[in-house]
Amino acid sequence: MINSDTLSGLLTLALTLVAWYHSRDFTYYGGLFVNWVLAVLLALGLTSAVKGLLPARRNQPKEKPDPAAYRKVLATLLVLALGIAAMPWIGFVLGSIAIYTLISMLIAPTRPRSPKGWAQTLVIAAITSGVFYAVFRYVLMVPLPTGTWFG
Amino acid sequence: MLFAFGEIFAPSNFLLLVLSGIAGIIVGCLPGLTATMALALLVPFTFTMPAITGLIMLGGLYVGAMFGDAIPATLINTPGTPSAIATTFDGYPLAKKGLAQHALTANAFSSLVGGLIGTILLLTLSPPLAELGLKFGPPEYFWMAIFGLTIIGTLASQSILKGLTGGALGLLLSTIGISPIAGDVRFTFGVTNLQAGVDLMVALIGFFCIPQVLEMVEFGVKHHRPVKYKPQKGVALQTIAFLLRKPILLIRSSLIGVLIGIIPGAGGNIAALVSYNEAVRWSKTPEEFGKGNIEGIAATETANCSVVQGSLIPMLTLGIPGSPAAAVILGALMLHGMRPGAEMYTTFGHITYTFIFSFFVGVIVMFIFTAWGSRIFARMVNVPLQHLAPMIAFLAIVGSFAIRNSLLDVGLMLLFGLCAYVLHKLGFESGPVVLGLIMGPFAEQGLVQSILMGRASGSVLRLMFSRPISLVLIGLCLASVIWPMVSHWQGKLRTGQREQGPAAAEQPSAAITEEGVVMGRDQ
Amino acid sequence: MVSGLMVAQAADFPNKPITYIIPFDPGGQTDIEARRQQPILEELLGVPVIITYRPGGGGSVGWSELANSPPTGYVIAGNNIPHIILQPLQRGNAGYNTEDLEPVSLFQTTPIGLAVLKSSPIESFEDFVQYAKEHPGAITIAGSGTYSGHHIAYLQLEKLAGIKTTYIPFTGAAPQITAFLGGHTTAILANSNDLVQHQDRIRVLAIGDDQRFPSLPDVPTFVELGYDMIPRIDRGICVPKGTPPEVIAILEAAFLSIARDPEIQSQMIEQGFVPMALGAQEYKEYIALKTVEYSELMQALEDR
Repeated sequence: MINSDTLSGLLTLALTLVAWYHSRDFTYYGGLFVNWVLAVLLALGLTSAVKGLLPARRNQPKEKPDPAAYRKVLATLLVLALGIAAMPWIGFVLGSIAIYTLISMLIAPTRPRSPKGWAQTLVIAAITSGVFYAVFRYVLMVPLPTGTWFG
Repeated sequence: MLFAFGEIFAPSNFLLLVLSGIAGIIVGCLPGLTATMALALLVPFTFTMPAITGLIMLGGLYVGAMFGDAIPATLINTPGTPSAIATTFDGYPLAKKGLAQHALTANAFSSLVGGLIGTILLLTLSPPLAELGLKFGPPEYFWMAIFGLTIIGTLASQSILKGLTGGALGLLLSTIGISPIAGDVRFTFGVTNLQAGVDLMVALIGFFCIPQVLEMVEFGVKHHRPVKYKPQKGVALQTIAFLLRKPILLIRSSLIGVLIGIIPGAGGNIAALVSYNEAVRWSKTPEEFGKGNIEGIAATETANCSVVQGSLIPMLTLGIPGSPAAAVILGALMLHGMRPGAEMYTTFGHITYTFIFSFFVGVIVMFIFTAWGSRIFARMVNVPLQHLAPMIAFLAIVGSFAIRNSLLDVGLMLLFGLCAYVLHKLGFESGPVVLGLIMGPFAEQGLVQSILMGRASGSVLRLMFSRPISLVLIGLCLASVIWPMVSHWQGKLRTGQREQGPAAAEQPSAAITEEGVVMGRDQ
Repeated sequence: MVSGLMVAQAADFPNKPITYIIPFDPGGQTDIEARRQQPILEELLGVPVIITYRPGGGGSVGWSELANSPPTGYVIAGNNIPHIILQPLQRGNAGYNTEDLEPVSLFQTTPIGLAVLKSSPIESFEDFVQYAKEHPGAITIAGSGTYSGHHIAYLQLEKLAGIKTTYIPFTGAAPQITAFLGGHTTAILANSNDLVQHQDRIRVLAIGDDQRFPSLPDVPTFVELGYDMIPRIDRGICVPKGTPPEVIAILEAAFLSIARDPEIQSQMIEQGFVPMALGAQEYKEYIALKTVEYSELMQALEDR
């Protein structure tokens, strides 16, 4: 049974290998610290992987993973990723309104979600987004992306 | 001295102090906006003002930010600036228990104390403290970084192994960018902006904000139900009375803050973490930390505020800024024609002393605002989840963009957030990784520079192990490593396995640990 | 390309705010200079000048952003010699090429000097060379950055004096000075303004300029001492390649008039800098000259 120790151990080892591969060309001083850290990671990763395989503690109360919940998490991640990726084109205001609304709907306690709920959330999202955009752009001189669709 | 107070309370100066302080609190409140950035924005406005007014404004902003950054740390588990990282450890659990106002008041009062003690030291002991700061050379920076890494022992309550791995991961992350000694371009995969390395604030927002949002989505309204905040009377006085009964804690934390402030390069984030570590170490109930212990907040906030004055000590006496924010203030000083050094206290004495005294006034004013406002801020916890989660996501995006005006940073932030979420599921905590990220540059530079120095002087080992301050730091490292092991065994002997009943219901993120126990701090 | 449009834009340049990129952290030298220039620029050009910070990579993040900005004259950046020459040379991909940055004006130079603490037994430059010859590698010199002005100065020093010392790079002026003042390194190669700032505690052995440095009149130049090197860091302004010449001319005129302003000049001198006023063409030639010089030096380094 793969438990968290083994899994994290293996992931650590995988990461160490990738990092080591990319660090082959470093100069002596550039690579010195990196090599030490990688050595430590190697040791820790091995220890963790081995520890997970030991028979010692197997009686752990595991919470049943809820696939529906994980689907929602994945959906949230997709919303965030796509929203951010699209910002150079659709701009900050549209992008963040979309993100806000969609995430809010994912969490909303009532099913089915009423049009009124959508409208309410949309309005809040629009106002918040607009206010932040204005304040950041004109007061703090931080130009949030306008998006190429808007010039 | 009377002159100084007269100047400070002159209507225009005082008004500007209050306004810039409030601006500072707001800046500190928004993750992604740092004090340094805000100061840089403010400097041009000071050109047309007399030097005293300009400096008072800048000082007010700096102090305000140190008060403000604890607010998001407590309410939404996101440090407003890196100095507030350690405040999330105990602040957020308190907010979840409905004790947000207690936490915020404690933050405010601790910052006040830290600021006052720091200013006293700035006023009286600047020259010797500045000289002490100079004594820190590369070997000392290295041992300081190692000492910082031993704090992992305190932070990784579940699994030291995972804590160490997290810390090492943080160290590896910190190497992305241009190598400080050899100039290699490391791990940038061709992306130019990565030459600057991973920005700490971006990583912080990613590590602390995003997993929260994702967990809120995962568990929905049913599970994630923090205790509602109900305003109570007398909370402020109660909290202050509690803290006043712990003078040693407050004084020790202030001293730690000032000492780390005088070390050029080491700032509020390190000071708060070290102070937290020490508070845990000296406490009679170390298990209470991480679950909402006011002492924890007191330690971190006191230190992070006294760092402000600490960083100004070498800046005023030697012209060496103790932190990036101090560097901006230094720039402003020079643009007003003042030169740090002995002159500051003689020719420009009236300006300098007024500036220092303005901190006394500033911290008191900030305290009043944040303590009084804590009732209002605390209500944020009551915002329904379906609005809170997207708001946090929103703040995360805006904040991470604002740091370097780069969408790449936002993408990176999201990536870090995803990794942090996965890591949480595997039983890792964010604290050690962040620690590694912060200490990495110090450790690397200290190490390689010491090796270069050692090669020149004949023996690297002798250099690293023979200098007085290094030895003190090595001693601290050893103490810091041995202590958690001792207390871990003591704890096991004393109480056996602890089932955290109520905590389990409140902390729905089920990190599967080897002891089969859901510990309070995992969020 | 769209040259008709460009010319039309140039005709009423500037009529929008100008972004001034600082490729370093706020509070640094480039920032201070920009702040000095900002009010006068806004007055001369009649538009707001917005200073933005893009630190990282020793300046490369900011310069690569400039190189990729539209060549309209509305985005300018401070640039430094030798950084913009050395970084593309040494790094496989710095994000920009030296030619991508079109020079506008050079307004300041900071001579680099060699110094020891007043408490050091080394009294003069000759002593320094003597000691270095007797103890190769034992002298540690603090500098700021790798493949930076200080590093180049160190390499030139070793080559011309025939000595071997150890260069210890730090990540900026503040760390290097802290380490030096704390006695952790024997000597330092520092910028003139830092040398002037701390002159009470240090002894400057030599300075890199073609004539004696006014704020440190007793310090001989390297050239005087017989070493043909003038190590210094120059600061100027650049725009992306392809910016129309008329636009560059307007910017150049503005910066030159600031550079020639006696008030500004005296401020610079008091803080330990040397004001300069090179126009676009001269600046370009200077960069070409330095590029050749540094390429040779880097080549010699690789052959070592």
